[in-house]
Amino acid sequence: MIYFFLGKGGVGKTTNAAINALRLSKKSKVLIASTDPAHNLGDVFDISLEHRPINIAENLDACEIDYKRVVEEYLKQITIKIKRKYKYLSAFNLDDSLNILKFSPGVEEDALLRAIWSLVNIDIYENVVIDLPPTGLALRIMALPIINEVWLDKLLKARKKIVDTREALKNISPVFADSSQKDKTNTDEVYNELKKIKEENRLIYSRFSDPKSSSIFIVMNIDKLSYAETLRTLDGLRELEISAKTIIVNRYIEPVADDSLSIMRGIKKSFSNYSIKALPYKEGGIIGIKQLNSAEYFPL
Amino acid sequence: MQLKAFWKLFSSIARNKATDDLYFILAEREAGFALILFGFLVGLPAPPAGITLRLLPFMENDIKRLRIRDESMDDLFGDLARMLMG
Repeated sequence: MIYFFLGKGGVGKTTNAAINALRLSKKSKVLIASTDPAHNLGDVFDISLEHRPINIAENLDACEIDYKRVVEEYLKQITIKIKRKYKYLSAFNLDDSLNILKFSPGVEEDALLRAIWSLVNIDIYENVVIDLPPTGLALRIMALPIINEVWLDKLLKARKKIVDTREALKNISPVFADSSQKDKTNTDEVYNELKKIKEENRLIYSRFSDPKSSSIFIVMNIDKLSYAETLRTLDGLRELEISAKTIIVNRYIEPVADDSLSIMRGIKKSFSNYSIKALPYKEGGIIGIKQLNSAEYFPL
Repeated sequence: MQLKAFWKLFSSIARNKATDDLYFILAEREAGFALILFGFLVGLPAPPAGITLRLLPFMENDIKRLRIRDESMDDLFGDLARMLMG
Protein backbone atom coordinates (compact mmCIF):
# COMPACT_ATOMS: atom_id res chain seq x y z
CA MET A 1 0.00 0.00 0.00
CA ILE A 2 0.93 3.60 -0.54
CA TYR A 3 -0.05 6.14 2.11
CA PHE A 4 -0.03 9.77 0.99
CA PHE A 5 -0.02 12.61 3.51
CA LEU A 6 -1.36 15.88 2.14
CA GLY A 7 -2.09 19.27 3.66
CA LYS A 8 -1.28 22.93 3.96
CA GLY A 9 2.31 23.77 4.81
CA GLY A 10 3.04 23.59 8.53
CA VAL A 11 -0.06 21.66 9.66
CA GLY A 12 1.94 18.60 10.72
CA LYS A 13 1.89 16.31 7.67
CA THR A 14 5.40 15.06 8.39
CA THR A 15 4.72 14.31 12.05
CA ASN A 16 1.59 12.36 11.20
CA ALA A 17 3.29 10.56 8.32
CA ALA A 18 6.06 9.54 10.75
CA ILE A 19 3.59 8.33 13.40
CA ASN A 20 1.72 6.20 10.88
CA ALA A 21 4.92 4.84 9.33
CA LEU A 22 6.10 3.69 12.75
CA ARG A 23 2.74 2.02 13.43
CA LEU A 24 2.85 0.21 10.08
CA SER A 25 6.41 -0.92 10.76
CA LYS A 26 5.21 -2.99 13.74
CA LYS A 27 3.71 -5.46 11.24
CA SER A 28 5.43 -4.83 7.90
CA LYS A 29 8.51 -3.51 6.14
CA VAL A 30 7.96 0.20 5.54
CA LEU A 31 9.62 3.04 3.69
CA ILE A 32 8.77 6.63 4.56
CA ALA A 33 9.87 9.23 2.04
CA SER A 34 9.71 12.98 2.31
CA THR A 35 9.00 14.72 -1.00
CA ASP A 36 8.59 18.17 0.54
CA PRO A 37 11.26 20.59 -0.75
CA ALA A 38 11.45 21.97 2.80
CA HIS A 39 12.25 18.63 4.40
CA ASN A 40 11.84 18.09 8.10
CA LEU A 41 11.33 14.34 8.25
CA GLY A 42 14.82 14.00 9.70
CA ASP A 43 13.99 16.68 12.29
CA VAL A 44 10.80 14.84 13.31
CA PHE A 45 12.66 11.55 13.77
CA ASP A 46 15.66 13.44 15.15
CA ILE A 47 17.83 11.44 12.76
CA SER A 48 19.91 12.72 9.86
CA LEU A 49 18.40 11.44 6.59
CA GLU A 50 19.69 11.16 3.03
CA HIS A 51 18.40 10.94 -0.52
CA ARG A 52 18.68 7.15 -0.48
CA PRO A 53 16.69 5.15 2.11
CA ILE A 54 18.45 4.30 5.37
CA ASN A 55 17.25 2.13 8.21
CA ILE A 56 16.05 4.15 11.21
CA ALA A 57 14.07 1.61 13.23
CA GLU A 58 13.07 -2.02 13.05
CA ASN A 59 11.32 -2.58 9.70
CA LEU A 60 11.45 1.14 8.92
CA ASP A 61 13.60 2.88 6.35
CA ALA A 62 13.42 6.60 5.62
CA CYS A 63 14.68 9.09 3.06
CA GLU A 64 14.40 12.73 2.09
CA ILE A 65 14.24 13.16 -1.67
CA ASP A 66 16.83 15.60 -2.98
CA TYR A 67 14.90 17.67 -5.55
CA LYS A 68 17.97 18.92 -7.33
CA ARG A 69 19.35 15.42 -7.67
CA VAL A 70 16.00 14.01 -8.87
CA VAL A 71 15.73 16.58 -11.67
CA GLU A 72 19.40 16.13 -12.63
CA GLU A 73 19.08 12.35 -12.81
CA TYR A 74 15.85 12.69 -14.79
CA LEU A 75 17.48 14.99 -17.37
CA LYS A 76 20.59 12.82 -17.42
CA GLN A 77 18.49 9.86 -18.62
CA ILE A 78 17.07 11.99 -21.44
CA THR A 79 20.57 13.23 -22.37
CA ILE A 80 21.93 9.68 -22.52
CA LYS A 81 19.12 8.61 -24.86
CA ILE A 82 19.59 11.67 -27.09
CA LYS A 83 23.37 11.14 -27.28
CA ARG A 84 22.81 7.49 -28.19
CA LYS A 85 20.41 8.44 -30.96
CA TYR A 86 22.11 11.54 -32.28
CA LYS A 87 25.70 10.33 -32.29
CA TYR A 88 26.83 13.30 -34.39
CA LEU A 89 26.00 15.51 -31.40
CA SER A 90 28.57 13.77 -29.18
CA ALA A 91 31.11 16.50 -29.89
CA PHE A 92 28.52 19.10 -28.98
CA ASN A 93 28.09 19.94 -25.31
CA LEU A 94 24.57 18.58 -25.01
CA ASP A 95 24.65 18.55 -21.21
CA ASP A 96 24.86 22.33 -21.03
CA SER A 97 22.14 22.78 -23.63
CA LEU A 98 19.71 20.46 -21.90
CA ASN A 99 20.60 21.86 -18.48
CA ILE A 100 18.29 24.80 -19.18
CA LEU A 101 15.36 22.36 -19.31
CA LYS A 102 15.43 21.93 -15.54
CA PHE A 103 13.80 25.36 -15.36
CA SER A 104 10.99 24.41 -17.76
CA PRO A 105 7.47 24.26 -16.32
CA GLY A 106 6.41 20.76 -15.49
CA VAL A 107 9.88 19.21 -15.40
CA GLU A 108 10.14 19.22 -11.60
CA GLU A 109 6.66 17.74 -11.19
CA ASP A 110 7.32 14.98 -13.69
CA ALA A 111 10.72 14.19 -12.20
CA LEU A 112 9.18 13.99 -8.73
CA LEU A 113 6.32 11.80 -9.93
CA ARG A 114 8.85 9.39 -11.45
CA ALA A 115 10.92 9.46 -8.24
CA ILE A 116 7.81 8.62 -6.16
CA TRP A 117 6.86 5.89 -8.63
CA SER A 118 10.29 4.28 -8.40
CA LEU A 119 10.16 4.38 -4.58
CA VAL A 120 6.75 2.71 -4.38
CA ASN A 121 7.96 -0.03 -6.70
CA ILE A 122 10.89 -1.13 -4.53
CA ASP A 123 10.00 -4.77 -3.89
CA ILE A 124 11.22 -5.10 -0.33
CA TYR A 125 8.69 -2.61 1.10
CA GLU A 126 5.17 -3.78 1.82
CA ASN A 127 4.05 -0.27 2.66
CA VAL A 128 5.33 3.10 1.49
CA VAL A 129 4.43 6.34 3.27
CA ILE A 130 4.85 9.49 1.19
CA ASP A 131 5.05 12.84 2.93
CA LEU A 132 3.90 15.05 0.06
CA PRO A 133 4.84 18.69 -0.52
CA PRO A 134 2.30 21.42 0.41
CA THR A 135 -1.04 21.15 -1.36
CA GLY A 136 -0.39 23.18 -4.52
CA LEU A 137 2.60 21.14 -5.70
CA ALA A 138 1.13 17.89 -4.34
CA LEU A 139 -2.07 18.28 -6.37
CA ARG A 140 -0.08 19.16 -9.51
CA ILE A 141 1.88 15.93 -9.09
CA MET A 142 -1.28 13.87 -8.47
CA ALA A 143 -2.96 15.50 -11.49
CA LEU A 144 -0.11 14.73 -13.87
CA PRO A 145 -1.23 11.19 -14.78
CA ILE A 146 -4.67 12.48 -15.82
CA ILE A 147 -3.27 15.41 -17.78
CA ASN A 148 -0.79 13.04 -19.43
CA GLU A 149 -3.63 10.69 -20.35
CA VAL A 150 -5.55 13.42 -22.19
CA TRP A 151 -2.49 14.47 -24.19
CA LEU A 152 -1.34 10.91 -24.87
CA ASP A 153 -4.70 9.99 -26.38
CA LYS A 154 -4.50 12.97 -28.77
CA LEU A 155 -0.85 12.37 -29.64
CA LEU A 156 -1.40 8.67 -30.28
CA LYS A 157 -4.34 9.43 -32.58
CA ALA A 158 -2.29 12.00 -34.49
CA ARG A 159 0.71 9.69 -34.77
CA LYS A 160 -1.43 6.75 -35.91
CA LYS A 161 -2.72 8.91 -38.78
CA ILE A 162 0.88 9.63 -39.80
CA VAL A 163 1.76 5.95 -39.65
CA ASP A 164 -1.35 4.99 -41.65
CA THR A 165 -0.55 7.63 -44.29
CA ARG A 166 2.99 6.27 -44.60
CA GLU A 167 1.57 2.78 -45.02
CA ALA A 168 -0.72 3.98 -47.78
CA LEU A 169 2.21 5.71 -49.51
CA LYS A 170 4.36 2.59 -49.32
CA ASN A 171 1.62 0.63 -51.05
CA ILE A 172 1.40 2.98 -54.03
CA SER A 173 4.87 4.47 -54.27
CA PRO A 174 7.84 2.10 -54.65
CA VAL A 175 10.16 5.10 -54.23
CA PHE A 176 8.68 5.89 -50.85
CA ALA A 177 8.69 2.23 -49.85
CA ASP A 178 12.42 2.01 -50.63
CA SER A 179 13.31 5.20 -48.82
CA SER A 180 11.24 4.51 -45.76
CA GLN A 181 13.12 2.80 -42.93
CA LYS A 182 10.05 1.61 -41.14
CA ASP A 183 7.72 -0.93 -42.75
CA LYS A 184 5.10 -1.58 -40.16
CA THR A 185 3.06 0.48 -37.70
CA ASN A 186 4.77 -1.04 -34.72
CA THR A 187 8.22 0.06 -35.80
CA ASP A 188 7.53 3.78 -35.65
CA GLU A 189 9.71 4.68 -32.65
CA VAL A 190 7.65 7.72 -31.66
CA TYR A 191 4.42 5.68 -31.78
CA ASN A 192 6.02 2.89 -29.74
CA GLU A 193 7.34 5.32 -27.16
CA LEU A 194 3.94 6.98 -26.88
CA LYS A 195 2.32 3.59 -26.23
CA LYS A 196 4.96 2.82 -23.61
CA ILE A 197 4.39 6.15 -21.84
CA LYS A 198 0.62 5.59 -21.94
CA GLU A 199 0.95 2.16 -20.35
CA GLU A 200 3.22 3.46 -17.58
CA ASN A 201 0.92 6.40 -17.01
CA ARG A 202 -2.12 4.12 -16.78
CA LEU A 203 -0.33 2.00 -14.16
CA ILE A 204 0.59 5.05 -12.10
CA TYR A 205 -2.92 6.49 -12.19
CA SER A 206 -4.63 3.19 -11.40
CA ARG A 207 -2.29 2.58 -8.47
CA PHE A 208 -2.74 6.09 -7.04
CA SER A 209 -6.50 6.18 -7.46
CA ASP A 210 -7.35 2.63 -6.35
CA PRO A 211 -8.35 2.63 -2.66
CA LYS A 212 -7.06 -0.96 -2.44
CA SER A 213 -3.52 0.21 -3.22
CA SER A 214 -3.39 3.83 -2.07
CA SER A 215 -4.74 5.71 0.88
CA ILE A 216 -4.79 9.48 1.24
CA PHE A 217 -4.65 11.28 4.56
CA ILE A 218 -5.32 14.99 4.74
CA VAL A 219 -3.82 16.75 7.73
CA MET A 220 -5.29 19.99 9.04
CA ASN A 221 -5.37 22.23 12.10
CA ILE A 222 -8.37 23.90 13.68
CA ASP A 223 -8.01 27.24 11.92
CA LYS A 224 -9.86 28.97 9.08
CA LEU A 225 -7.04 28.83 6.53
CA SER A 226 -6.34 25.16 7.09
CA TYR A 227 -10.05 24.30 6.98
CA ALA A 228 -10.56 26.24 3.73
CA GLU A 229 -7.53 24.60 2.15
CA THR A 230 -8.72 21.15 3.17
CA LEU A 231 -12.05 21.80 1.44
CA ARG A 232 -10.22 22.92 -1.71
CA THR A 233 -7.90 19.90 -1.54
CA LEU A 234 -10.85 17.52 -1.36
CA ASP A 235 -12.46 19.30 -4.33
CA GLY A 236 -9.19 19.02 -6.23
CA LEU A 237 -8.90 15.30 -5.50
CA ARG A 238 -12.53 14.72 -6.46
CA GLU A 239 -11.86 16.29 -9.88
CA LEU A 240 -9.02 13.83 -10.29
CA GLU A 241 -11.37 10.99 -9.23
CA ILE A 242 -9.05 10.23 -6.34
CA SER A 243 -10.68 9.85 -2.96
CA ALA A 244 -9.15 10.72 0.37
CA LYS A 245 -9.71 8.32 3.22
CA THR A 246 -8.98 10.13 6.44
CA ILE A 247 -8.88 13.65 7.78
CA ILE A 248 -6.44 14.15 10.66
CA VAL A 249 -7.02 17.15 12.89
CA ASN A 250 -3.55 17.83 14.24
CA ARG A 251 -2.59 19.81 17.36
CA TYR A 252 -6.12 19.32 18.66
CA ILE A 253 -7.18 21.44 21.64
CA GLU A 254 -10.76 21.32 22.89
CA PRO A 255 -12.31 24.35 21.15
CA VAL A 256 -13.79 27.05 23.36
CA ALA A 257 -13.63 30.21 21.21
CA ASP A 258 -16.49 30.89 18.76
CA ASP A 259 -14.17 30.65 15.75
CA SER A 260 -12.82 27.25 16.74
CA LEU A 261 -16.28 25.94 17.61
CA SER A 262 -17.58 27.09 14.24
CA ILE A 263 -14.69 25.36 12.47
CA MET A 264 -15.30 22.15 14.43
CA ARG A 265 -18.95 22.21 13.38
CA GLY A 266 -17.80 22.73 9.79
CA ILE A 267 -15.37 19.81 10.04
CA LYS A 268 -18.01 17.44 11.36
CA LYS A 269 -20.50 18.54 8.71
CA SER A 270 -18.24 18.84 5.63
CA PHE A 271 -16.16 15.76 6.32
CA SER A 272 -18.89 13.46 7.57
CA ASN A 273 -18.12 11.01 4.74
CA TYR A 274 -14.52 10.62 5.87
CA SER A 275 -12.90 9.04 8.86
CA ILE A 276 -11.87 11.93 11.12
CA LYS A 277 -9.35 11.53 13.88
CA ALA A 278 -7.51 13.94 16.10
CA LEU A 279 -4.01 14.13 17.48
CA PRO A 280 -3.78 16.20 20.66
CA TYR A 281 -1.57 19.24 20.86
CA LYS A 282 1.75 18.65 22.59
CA GLU A 283 3.87 21.48 23.91
CA GLY A 284 7.19 21.52 21.99
CA GLY A 285 5.90 19.16 19.31
CA ILE A 286 6.38 15.41 18.94
CA ILE A 287 10.05 14.71 18.24
CA GLY A 288 11.97 11.45 18.17
CA ILE A 289 10.93 7.84 17.74
CA LYS A 290 9.94 7.36 21.39
CA GLN A 291 7.49 10.27 21.40
CA LEU A 292 6.18 9.40 17.92
CA ASN A 293 5.52 5.84 19.09
CA SER A 294 3.53 7.02 22.08
CA ALA A 295 1.32 9.46 20.14
CA GLU A 296 -2.33 8.45 20.27
CA TYR A 297 -5.20 9.44 17.97
CA PHE A 298 -8.81 9.61 19.02
CA PRO A 299 -11.87 9.72 16.79
CA LEU A 300 -13.73 13.01 16.31
CA MET B 1 -4.00 -1.93 -77.74
CA GLN B 2 -4.57 1.78 -77.78
CA LEU B 3 -7.12 1.42 -74.99
CA LYS B 4 -4.63 -0.61 -72.96
CA ALA B 5 -1.95 2.01 -73.48
CA PHE B 6 -4.40 4.76 -72.58
CA TRP B 7 -5.43 2.92 -69.41
CA LYS B 8 -1.78 2.41 -68.45
CA LEU B 9 -1.10 6.12 -68.92
CA PHE B 10 -4.25 7.10 -67.02
CA SER B 11 -3.37 4.77 -64.13
CA SER B 12 0.14 6.16 -63.96
CA ILE B 13 -1.13 9.76 -63.86
CA ALA B 14 -3.73 8.87 -61.21
CA ARG B 15 -1.12 7.03 -59.14
CA ASN B 16 1.27 9.96 -59.31
CA LYS B 17 -1.51 12.34 -58.32
CA ALA B 18 -2.53 10.10 -55.41
CA THR B 19 1.09 9.82 -54.34
CA ASP B 20 1.55 13.59 -54.46
CA ASP B 21 -1.65 14.10 -52.47
CA LEU B 22 -0.50 11.60 -49.86
CA TYR B 23 2.96 13.15 -49.68
CA PHE B 24 1.33 16.51 -49.02
CA ILE B 25 -1.01 15.05 -46.38
CA LEU B 26 1.88 13.19 -44.74
CA ALA B 27 4.04 16.33 -44.67
CA GLU B 28 1.18 18.33 -43.12
CA ARG B 29 0.50 15.67 -40.49
CA GLU B 30 4.17 15.30 -39.57
CA ALA B 31 4.62 19.06 -39.35
CA GLY B 32 1.47 19.29 -37.24
CA PHE B 33 2.66 16.58 -34.88
CA ALA B 34 6.08 18.19 -34.43
CA LEU B 35 4.38 21.53 -33.88
CA ILE B 36 2.15 20.05 -31.15
CA LEU B 37 5.23 18.78 -29.35
CA PHE B 38 7.44 21.82 -29.81
CA GLY B 39 4.82 24.51 -30.32
CA PHE B 40 5.50 25.90 -26.86
CA LEU B 41 8.49 27.59 -28.51
CA VAL B 42 6.02 29.70 -30.50
CA GLY B 43 3.40 30.09 -27.80
CA LEU B 44 1.11 27.12 -28.52
CA PRO B 45 -0.26 25.01 -25.65
CA ALA B 46 2.17 22.17 -25.11
CA PRO B 47 1.92 18.64 -23.76
CA PRO B 48 3.40 18.08 -20.29
CA ALA B 49 7.16 18.41 -20.35
CA GLY B 50 7.60 14.75 -19.42
CA ILE B 51 5.96 13.54 -22.63
CA THR B 52 7.91 15.95 -24.87
CA LEU B 53 11.22 15.06 -23.24
CA ARG B 54 10.59 11.30 -23.52
CA LEU B 55 9.84 11.68 -27.25
CA LEU B 56 12.74 14.04 -27.96
CA PRO B 57 15.32 11.25 -28.61
CA PHE B 58 13.03 9.79 -31.31
CA MET B 59 12.02 13.00 -33.05
CA GLU B 60 15.11 13.62 -35.17
CA ASN B 61 13.40 13.04 -38.54
CA ASP B 62 10.32 15.00 -37.53
CA ILE B 63 12.40 17.97 -36.39
CA LYS B 64 14.36 17.85 -39.66
CA ARG B 65 11.13 17.91 -41.65
CA LEU B 66 9.87 20.83 -39.56
CA ARG B 67 13.05 22.74 -40.39
CA ILE B 68 12.62 21.97 -44.09
CA ARG B 69 9.01 23.16 -43.86
CA ASP B 70 10.21 26.32 -42.19
CA GLU B 71 12.73 26.90 -45.00
CA SER B 72 10.07 26.48 -47.70
CA MET B 73 7.54 28.69 -45.89
CA ASP B 74 8.02 31.48 -48.44
CA ASP B 75 6.93 29.15 -51.23
CA LEU B 76 3.78 27.71 -49.65
CA PHE B 77 1.77 28.60 -52.75
CA GLY B 78 4.32 26.83 -54.90
CA ASP B 79 3.90 23.75 -52.72
CA LEU B 80 0.12 23.94 -52.94
CA ALA B 81 0.13 24.59 -56.69
CA ARG B 82 2.41 21.64 -57.28
CA MET B 83 0.02 19.43 -55.35
CA LEU B 84 -3.16 20.72 -56.98
CA MET B 85 -1.88 20.73 -60.55
CA GLY B 86 -0.21 17.33 -60.18
